[in-house]
Amino acid sequence: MEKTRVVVIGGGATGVGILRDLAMRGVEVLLLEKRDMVNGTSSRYHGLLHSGARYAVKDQEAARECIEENIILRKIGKSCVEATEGLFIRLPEDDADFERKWVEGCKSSGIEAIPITPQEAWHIEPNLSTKIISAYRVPDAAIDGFRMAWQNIDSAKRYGGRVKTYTEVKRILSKNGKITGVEVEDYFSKKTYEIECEMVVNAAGPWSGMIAGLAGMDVHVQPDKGTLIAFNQRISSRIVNRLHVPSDGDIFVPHGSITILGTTSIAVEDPEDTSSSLAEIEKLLQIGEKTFENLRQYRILRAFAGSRPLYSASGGQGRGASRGFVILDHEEDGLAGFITITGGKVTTYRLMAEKLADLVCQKLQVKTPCRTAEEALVEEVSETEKAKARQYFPAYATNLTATRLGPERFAKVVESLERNPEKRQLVCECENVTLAEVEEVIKEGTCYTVSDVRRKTRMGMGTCQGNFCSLRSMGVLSQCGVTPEAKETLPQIRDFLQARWKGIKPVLWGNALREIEMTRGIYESALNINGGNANE
Amino acid sequence: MSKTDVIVIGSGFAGLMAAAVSVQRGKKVKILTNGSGSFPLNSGLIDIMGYPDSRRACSSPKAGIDILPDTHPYKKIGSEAIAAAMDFFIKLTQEEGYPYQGSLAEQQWVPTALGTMKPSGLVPKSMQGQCCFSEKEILVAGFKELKDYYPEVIIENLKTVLGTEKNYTACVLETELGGGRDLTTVDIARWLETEAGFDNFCRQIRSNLPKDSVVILPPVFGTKPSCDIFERLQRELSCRFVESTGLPPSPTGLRLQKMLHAYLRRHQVEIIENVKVMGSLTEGRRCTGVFVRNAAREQLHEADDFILATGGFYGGGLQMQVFGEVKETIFSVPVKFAATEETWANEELISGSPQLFAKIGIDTDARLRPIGTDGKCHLENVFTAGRNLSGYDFCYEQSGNGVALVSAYQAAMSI
Amino acid sequence: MGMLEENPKAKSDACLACTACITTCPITAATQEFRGPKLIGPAQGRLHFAEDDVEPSIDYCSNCKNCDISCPSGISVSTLNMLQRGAYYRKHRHPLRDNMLAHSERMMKLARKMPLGVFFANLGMEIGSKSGMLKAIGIAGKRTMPKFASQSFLQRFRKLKQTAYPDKVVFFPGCYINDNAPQVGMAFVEVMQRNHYEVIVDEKFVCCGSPLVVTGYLDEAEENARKNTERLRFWREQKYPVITCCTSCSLMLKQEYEELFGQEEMHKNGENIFDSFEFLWSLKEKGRLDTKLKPLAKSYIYHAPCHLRVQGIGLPALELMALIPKLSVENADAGCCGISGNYGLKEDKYEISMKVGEDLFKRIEGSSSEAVLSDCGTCRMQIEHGTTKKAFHPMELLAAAYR
Repeated sequence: MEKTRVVVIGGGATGVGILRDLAMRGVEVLLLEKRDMVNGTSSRYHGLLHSGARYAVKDQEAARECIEENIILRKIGKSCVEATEGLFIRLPEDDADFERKWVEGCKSSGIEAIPITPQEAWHIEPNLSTKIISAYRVPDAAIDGFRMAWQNIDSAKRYGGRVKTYTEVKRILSKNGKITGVEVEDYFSKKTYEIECEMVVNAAGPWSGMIAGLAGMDVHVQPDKGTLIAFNQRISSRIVNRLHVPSDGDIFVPHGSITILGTTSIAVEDPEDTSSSLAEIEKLLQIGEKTFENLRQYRILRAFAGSRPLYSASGGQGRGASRGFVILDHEEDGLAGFITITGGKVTTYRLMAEKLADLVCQKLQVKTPCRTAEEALVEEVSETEKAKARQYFPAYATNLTATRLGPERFAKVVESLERNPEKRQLVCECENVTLAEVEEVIKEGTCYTVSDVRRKTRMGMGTCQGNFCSLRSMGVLSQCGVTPEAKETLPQIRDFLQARWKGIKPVLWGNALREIEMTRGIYESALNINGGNANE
Repeated sequence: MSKTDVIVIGSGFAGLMAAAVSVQRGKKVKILTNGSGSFPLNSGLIDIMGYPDSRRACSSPKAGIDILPDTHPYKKIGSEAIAAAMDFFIKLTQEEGYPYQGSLAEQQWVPTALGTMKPSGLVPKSMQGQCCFSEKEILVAGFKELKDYYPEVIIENLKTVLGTEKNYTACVLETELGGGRDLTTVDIARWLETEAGFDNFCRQIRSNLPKDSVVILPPVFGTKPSCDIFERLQRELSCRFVESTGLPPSPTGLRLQKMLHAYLRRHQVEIIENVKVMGSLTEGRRCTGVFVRNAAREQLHEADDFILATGGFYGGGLQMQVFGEVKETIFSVPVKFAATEETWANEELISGSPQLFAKIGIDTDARLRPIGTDGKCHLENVFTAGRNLSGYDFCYEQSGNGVALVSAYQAAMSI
Repeated sequence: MGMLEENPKAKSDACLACTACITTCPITAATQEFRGPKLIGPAQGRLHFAEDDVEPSIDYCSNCKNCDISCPSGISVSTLNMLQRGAYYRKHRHPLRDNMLAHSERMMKLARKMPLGVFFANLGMEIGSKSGMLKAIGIAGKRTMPKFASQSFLQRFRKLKQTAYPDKVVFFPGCYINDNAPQVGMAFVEVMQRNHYEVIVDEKFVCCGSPLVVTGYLDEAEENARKNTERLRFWREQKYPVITCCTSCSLMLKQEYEELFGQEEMHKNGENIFDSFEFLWSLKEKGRLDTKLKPLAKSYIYHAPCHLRVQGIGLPALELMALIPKLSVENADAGCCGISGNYGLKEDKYEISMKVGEDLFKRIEGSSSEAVLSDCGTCRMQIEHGTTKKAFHPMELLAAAYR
């Protein structure tokens, strides 16, 4: 029977943060995630590492928390944070009085907000609206949710932490008011088995209410869905916020080669609901084009949505309910060893994890202090390493690959390229992903599907949305994959295209529609993915 | 530019066929075009009808066409014209030395790069895959440097269609082309057009070849519309080769394009490249000319008749910038949008039923002239052909080039 | 100015990665070294932010425009490549040969100022070629370098007495016609005079910039563009059409200025700029063209320059030649000749250039035509180098038919 000390449920930012913190403190810990990492909220938001300025008026404590964590994450997460800096811009329809309060709020929260003239703003971001009245520079940054989680896990693994993806908790087991373990189901084999443990941490984000329910606990978490749009280009090189009362669609974040605009806020029943309506998309565009007047000329790659976990003791909704986090020690409710942590935002994940780990360690009588703010998630790849690597990589690929993979994987990829120049082949031409990289991540054994490969390497996330790289990845996965799923090639490629479709369907007009005509022309028509008569 | 008899707008398969048929009727033809059409992506096969109403292939193209609803272009055009169009095309390919074979009476099966078999109507010799069903030895050949083709994957999937009683082997060939870029099938096709490449290929295949086998490989027998490479190989190696379809860029699509261009050039068809047709000039119920925009200015091209073969969304013949408004921008033909947010697209991309957005297009009368919202034809000398027609989902049905061919034929004959 | 982000015309956002440009790129077909227009243009364009890097095969693009012609999404892929090249050379030194090839106008202006300057320029080229010196600095050794005419077109034009007419056109000769093929310019004047037009030549025009763009001297090209745009505006306001007999010049003036440098003025000027046969054909449509042409019982083969095909005006020279009685002209329709301006003059691109032109050479040799017609000077040079036949500008033929 499998055994560990602490089981963490949920592979989002909170969960991986806890995994790392506990592992670094020497606690035996296993994280369970029902799909691939950051399946939920943590990969479905705009990827903003807040400076805190957004909360400067309404909630200065949150703002202060944000700027402190922002500084820490920029230090420890150099490979998953793009220190792009941010702008707050005020447009004619935004309240001047709010600006005054905002400046004050930033100052008292310790957030550096540097005023610049509209001319300076246009100089650094030529696409900005011609109507800007005032602008400020703030230390916002862009964070890649998936990469952050992956690197937290890498770090945790160095200290003995373990992760099982595609492993869903079905039952929480207890005896005499004390946690004894969990029962889980493997997503692929459908086999169920038990894992023995002393403590269970419920870090399941918008699912945490449901997970708490498995333990017979009543936790009110309202999934609050937000839709975001990804554009095919870097519209700006900095994050751009509207300087007004925080509301929908007022943030643009550059991520690598794309830009994300978000977001909206709608209460939903089920955190699995990741649909986006036309009305939401239109709303985002209407608000967004105030910031970038030519916004509609830019090609929309896809739309996606995720649910925030909004906790309220009595069940509030939307932006009113607290976005701050809460830790519930269910020993007080009669179940010792079960703790729920919910709410919160990605920016403060490390702090949330620290507080939770403090509580867990207290219960386990572990005295080791938290060091997650001191040690980098992963080492950065050195300039000398990169300089050497450049001779083997195609143009413009070295930096991006190095930050994606971290030094150990990167070194292996470089070695592979050196030994075998054929591995330089690009599996994904839109995002410059080499065969060496794809093989490397597959070999680790945690890529069960083509989508898993996509998340780790960015293949399929660019212009053609997988039109070419899906067939190639399917082929490579089938050649080097270590799991039985790897050989189920037609379902793999169908599922991958379906996952891409989910994001394209809500924005199916303009060039997205043209791209889909091409996708169907290739896979349904020329390659007959459904097969002769074999498909019933 | 001088006035001409027929102006064809669009040089995709429908456009080129419309020009070819018009020329056969003795018309002076001018083609106005922007971009390559779908040829670089196109398999070059003339799919007539594969899946009329479900994921079960019909036993023959004719059987499939018979059960189509009246809204389908094939039904509007009629079986006589369908047969005549196919006949015309076959003859043209024979004239050009790159013959296609097939009929309404049976499906031609072609292997694909995914290891499935695909039904088609008219197929060039080198892609005829019927032998895959009957032969016992199947060799699937890939190329080491070609990242778009995985023989072992193909074999695993072929087994479910062709059965497990055959003997399947995979082999990987090398071109030694080297160089700074990744290879595509077009590169290999060009390599096979050289003597050195051809000999090298023969040597490698020969050493891998089981007796009496069928060799399935990517579409690499050249980019020119010729059977030379295929026939030489068949003779020298006495085995049966079958080119499968594959990812773009598609040599077999390019062959089809080159073949039609050569035919049209010989018949003195003028092709004006790199122009975007912006609008039209009408007098009463006749269109007298179309405006093109080139780099510097707008220019008017006049003709007696016009054939609109501008494609669907991909080609730009239909445009939708805002949800709910589909536009045909040259003649401002109204395009019926009878969809909602829910029905516009299916939950699944590769779905059990056709996609509504794929079926949207221009409604026409029996002569393939666009009709207005009142159901009447407003421009008596404008005809339309190809993807921009309403009423069919060519990806679901696998009927793309077929409808293009048949509608192009009908449009040109209706003038 | 001229950077990708600021140029809506060259915007790569609409790219679907369909591979159409790859299939029509003649350089891609000729060498495995070139990574291809799609990758270098729109694909890498999205990734430039990632690091200060350079694509090693960026020098291979010949700016022939075949990718632009085939793109279904309306992207000027070649422009993206040229902008990249310009960006590269802002930070890196040009090889000496690029300097030479890009600045022939400057060189020749100097040479013509000196006594026997042209003679020595030609001699220098010949010696340089035979001695291997040209090859050493990177200019193709196997080629016969084009001879500089003893008198430039401008020099000859200045001495010419034209009949005055109220209808006027402005002629933009371009460097090749001015320095190497002045007879083409003279033929043009003859043809216009016959049609009761007076030809003005504006000496304030400078090189259109095409050789500068393709060698990566983008800022210099922009300087030239500004100067020429100013003059073009002047002539537009005078309502005198500006005409050129060189298809690379007409492409630059009409189209590439705007694509590369994105100014409103350049767009407006385009309306007033014509390829010579485009203009003559428009005269014919208005009934203004003198159609009394002498029969010429000859058979020629016509090669359409790529830079003409991308202009979207069809092949007006071919149409006009059809008016000359007894003349038979077939359309070669065999792709790019391979030289693409000064691209094929480079030693390291020579083989590629000849490989690209193979199909065309074969077609020409295999035809029964006695000579070749083409509206591009460097195309003619390439054809004469790659075949046994002579090449003329169709304007020379038209002038002959008028005599």
